Amino acid sequence: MLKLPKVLNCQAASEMSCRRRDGRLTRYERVVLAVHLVLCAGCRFMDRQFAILDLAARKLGYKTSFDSAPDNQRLSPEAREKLKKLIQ
Amino acid sequence: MINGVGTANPSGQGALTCLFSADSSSMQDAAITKDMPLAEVWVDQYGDLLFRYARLRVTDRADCEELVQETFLAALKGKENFRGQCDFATWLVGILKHKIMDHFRRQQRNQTDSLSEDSTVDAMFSGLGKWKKFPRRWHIDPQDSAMESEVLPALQRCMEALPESQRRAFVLNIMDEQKAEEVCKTLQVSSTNLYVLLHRARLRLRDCLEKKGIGQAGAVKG
Repeated sequence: MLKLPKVLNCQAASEMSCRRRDGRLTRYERVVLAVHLVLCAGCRFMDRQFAILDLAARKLGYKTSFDSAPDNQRLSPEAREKLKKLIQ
Repeated sequence: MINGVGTANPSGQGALTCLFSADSSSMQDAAITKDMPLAEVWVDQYGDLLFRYARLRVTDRADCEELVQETFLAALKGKENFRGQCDFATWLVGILKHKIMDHFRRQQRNQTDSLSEDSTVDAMFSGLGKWKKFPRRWHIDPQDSAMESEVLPALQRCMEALPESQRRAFVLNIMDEQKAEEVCKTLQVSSTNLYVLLHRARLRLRDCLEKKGIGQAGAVKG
């Protein structure tokens, strides 16, 4: 017998949206979430925002590792001197 | 082989993989002479880079400085393991990455509130589970320059405000793209609990970015 998708609330939809991003949704859950996203504009925006968020986090992790960054992200002069003494 | 030094792959990117082993040969010695800078210039050349890498992942500034120190000391102790197969900076970042994971493990052992209620997240929804404040459309093209200039700095600030357990889960699983099983081991949580942490982290970050005006043309706040 065909199982009808249950109605989700937004909090549960946000949780499912996260798990879908990590590939942890069953086929049934994917249908339930898709139905909710069709009906709820706020959750559609959230779903898209989560995608942007994950992409931005990956970019940030990679970029800040190797590119230039603001001055407040530098070693303090004291720490720098301490390290130099330690290494020499 | 020194503790925490095995592969250097700081961002989960295959292209940056750097393998090395403890045995030394004349070829390796040549590579060291060619590729490894003198220890005297390490701090000036790589200190800030390592510090930034740690600072993005670890909240406390003093902890970050200590992690950089541990990294340099481990590199000094194990420099014969550097075979010149990757950039020296990448090798150092690989050591630091393992030091940070050790740091997370130590911190997580003392953490008792990782899965307690998150009132900030609960307050985003009504009793019926509906948004109290509906998410807005973000006018962002991920390929656009605004992603680099506005979203990334704002995200960094928002991440600093995350509870520690959520932040660690987000950093390891989302930012550094480590496998969930690996993250669960490091943080000593079940996979169910990891997804609870990631869900809360994403909701908080989404909310924080929206409050900073991300996605609303010309409205980015500090």
